[in-house]
Amino acid sequence: MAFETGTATDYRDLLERFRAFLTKNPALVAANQQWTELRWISTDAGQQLLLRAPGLAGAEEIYCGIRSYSNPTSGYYMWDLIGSIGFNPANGFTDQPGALTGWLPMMSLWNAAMPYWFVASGRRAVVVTKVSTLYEAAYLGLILPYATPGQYPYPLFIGGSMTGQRGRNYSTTGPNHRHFVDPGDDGQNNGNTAAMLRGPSGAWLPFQNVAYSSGEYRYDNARIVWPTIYSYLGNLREAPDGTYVLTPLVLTQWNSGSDHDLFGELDGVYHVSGFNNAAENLIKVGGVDHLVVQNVYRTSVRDYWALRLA
Amino acid sequence: MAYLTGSATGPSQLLDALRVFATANGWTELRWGASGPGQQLSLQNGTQFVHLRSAVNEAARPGYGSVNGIFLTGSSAFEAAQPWNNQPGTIRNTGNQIEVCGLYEVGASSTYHLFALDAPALLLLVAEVTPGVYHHLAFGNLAKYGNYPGGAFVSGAFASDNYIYGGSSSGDYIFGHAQDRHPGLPFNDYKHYGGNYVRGQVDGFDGWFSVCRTNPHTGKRAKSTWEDGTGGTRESLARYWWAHTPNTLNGVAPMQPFYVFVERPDGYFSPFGYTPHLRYMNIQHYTAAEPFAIGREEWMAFPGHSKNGKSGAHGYAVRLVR
Repeated sequence: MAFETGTATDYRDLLERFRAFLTKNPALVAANQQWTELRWISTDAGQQLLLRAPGLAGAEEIYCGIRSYSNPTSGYYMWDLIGSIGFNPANGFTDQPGALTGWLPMMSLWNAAMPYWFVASGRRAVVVTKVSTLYEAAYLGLILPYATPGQYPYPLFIGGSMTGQRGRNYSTTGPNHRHFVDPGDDGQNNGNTAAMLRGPSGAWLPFQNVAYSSGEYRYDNARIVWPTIYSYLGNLREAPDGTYVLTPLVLTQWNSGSDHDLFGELDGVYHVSGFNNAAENLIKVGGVDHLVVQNVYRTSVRDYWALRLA
Repeated sequence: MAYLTGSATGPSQLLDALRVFATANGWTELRWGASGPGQQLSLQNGTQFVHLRSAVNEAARPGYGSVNGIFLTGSSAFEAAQPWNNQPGTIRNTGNQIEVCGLYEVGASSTYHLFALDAPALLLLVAEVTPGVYHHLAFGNLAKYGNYPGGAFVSGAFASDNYIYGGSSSGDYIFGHAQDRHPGLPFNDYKHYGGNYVRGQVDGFDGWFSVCRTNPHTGKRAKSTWEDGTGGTRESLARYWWAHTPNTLNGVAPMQPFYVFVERPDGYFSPFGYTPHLRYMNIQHYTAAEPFAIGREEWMAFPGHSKNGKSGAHGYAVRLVR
C-alpha cells in the first residue's frame, strides 16, 4: 500500500499528480502493484486518464478512469470517475466495455491550490482533497467482498462526492453532494448517486443513505451503506478513554425478503465518530495513522470517516 | 476441554455440570454448596467474580415470579460469610435490591452445551430445555476498545423475572414486543429491563450498566446493537444486518460481534467493548447446535429461543474449540 500527501496547484495538477502516484510511486512499484496507464490525453479542454490496476498479486485487471474538465463561467472544475470491465483503445471515455453509465460519480474541485491525500494498493485507490473549507473524495477499485472470487469475481466500486444533476460547483449543498461513505441521491433520478458498485450480475448498483430534501432524512433504501445509515450514530462518541473506534463500511442490498446481500466492505475506509473530532486529525490504530475526513461541508457528529494511510 | 455436551436432570445438576467444566477451564471455585432447595456457586477468574444459584420453583427476590433454572449475577469481590446474592459490588437496582439474569424453564432433562474461551474469557452454557427451545447464560469479559477499568459481563436468556415472549403484531418476536423481560439473544437490548450487565468504571461511576432499551435496573444504561427494534431498519444495527443476511449471492450469513455501548452523562454513548467469541447470526441455513467452519475456525450456531419458532432465524454463534 502506498500513501502520498501534498498540495496541488489546481484540479488539473491534482490529476497529473495522481497519475504519477498510481503509476510510479516507489512503494507500489516495489510491491509490483503499480497501475498501468492505458490512456492519457491532456488538452486545453481537459484531461483523460484510463488505468488498469493489477490487484495484489498482479493477476487481476481492474479498470478505472478519470477525466477533468471545467466551466469557468459557471465556476466548476470537475473530475468524472468511471469504471469498466475492459479497455478498447478505439472507444471513448464513457463507452469502454461494461462501463458505468449515466450521471457519473464526481469530485467538484477548483482552480486553486488544494491539499490532497492519495492512498493506493494494487486493488483500489482513494483520493481526499480539501477545496476551500470542504472536502472531496473518491474511491476507485475493488471492495473486500463477502464472497469467494468464483462467486463474485469483480466487485468494482466507483465512489465520489457528488453527482452533477443539481449543479457542479463545490459550494453546492444538498444530498447529491455527499461522500460515498454515506451517500445521498439527487432526488430527480434515484439511479444517480456518487456510490456505484458493479454487482455480481454485472449491473451497476447505486447506493443511497439519504433522500433528497432540505432535511436530508435517512430512509430505508434498497441499497445502503452500513453502519452510516444508522440513525443513532449522531449519539456516538469515543470510548471512555478517548480512543476512537473505527467501524468497517459495508455495502448492502435489500430487494425483497428472499433477495438481499451484504456485498462486502470498502477497503481501508471506516466510519468514525465526529465527537470532539475534526477533519485532518490523525488517529493511530494498530500502529497505522488514519486520516479523519468530514463529509464535504458537514461537521455534525455523524458526518466523519477515516482513511487508512497505508 | 473447551467444549462439552451432556445432559442434566434439573437445575442443580445443570449447575454442577457448569461448575466442573468451569473449574477445568481456568475458573476458581470459591464456594459450592447447598442454598435452600438449590445449590450456590461462586467462581473467580482474575478480578472477575460471578455467583450462581440453582432455583427450584423459586423467585430471584420477592416480587418476581418463581422459576426453575439458574440465577446469575456478578460482583467485585467475594466474601465467604455472605450468600451468593449479597456479595460486594453485586448487581443491585436503584432500590438496593438484588438483580440477576438467568437461564430458566429448565425441565426434568436438558441437553447442555458448555464453551470456555480465553483472551477475553468467555464461559457459555446453552441448554435445550425442551425439544427445540434453547436458553443460555454467559459470563466473561468483553474485548475493550481502549484502556479503562471494567469489561466484565453477565448475560442471561432472561432478566430477573420469567416473562417470556408475548404477542407480536409483526410475527417477529425478537423485535415485535418491547415489554418482555426475555432477551433471548445475548446482549439483546430491545427489552425494557435487560438481561445483560457490563461492569465499568466510567465518569466516576463504578458498577454495573444494564444493557436495555429503557428503565435500566441499575440506573446506568448500556445498549447493544439492537436499539429501537420496532423502528425502521436504520434504527437498529443488528436488525439491518439480520434483514440483509444470509447473502442471496452465496448463502453465507456474515456474523457480527455484539457491540456494547455505555451511556455517558452528556447523553452520548461510548463504544465500550464487543464479544469476539460470541456473535449475532441469521441462522436460516443452520440447525440448532450445528457446528460449521470458517477457514480454520470452527463455530456452533444456536437460536435465540427456537428456530422458526419465537426467535425465527435470529440466533448467535460461538467459537468452538475442541
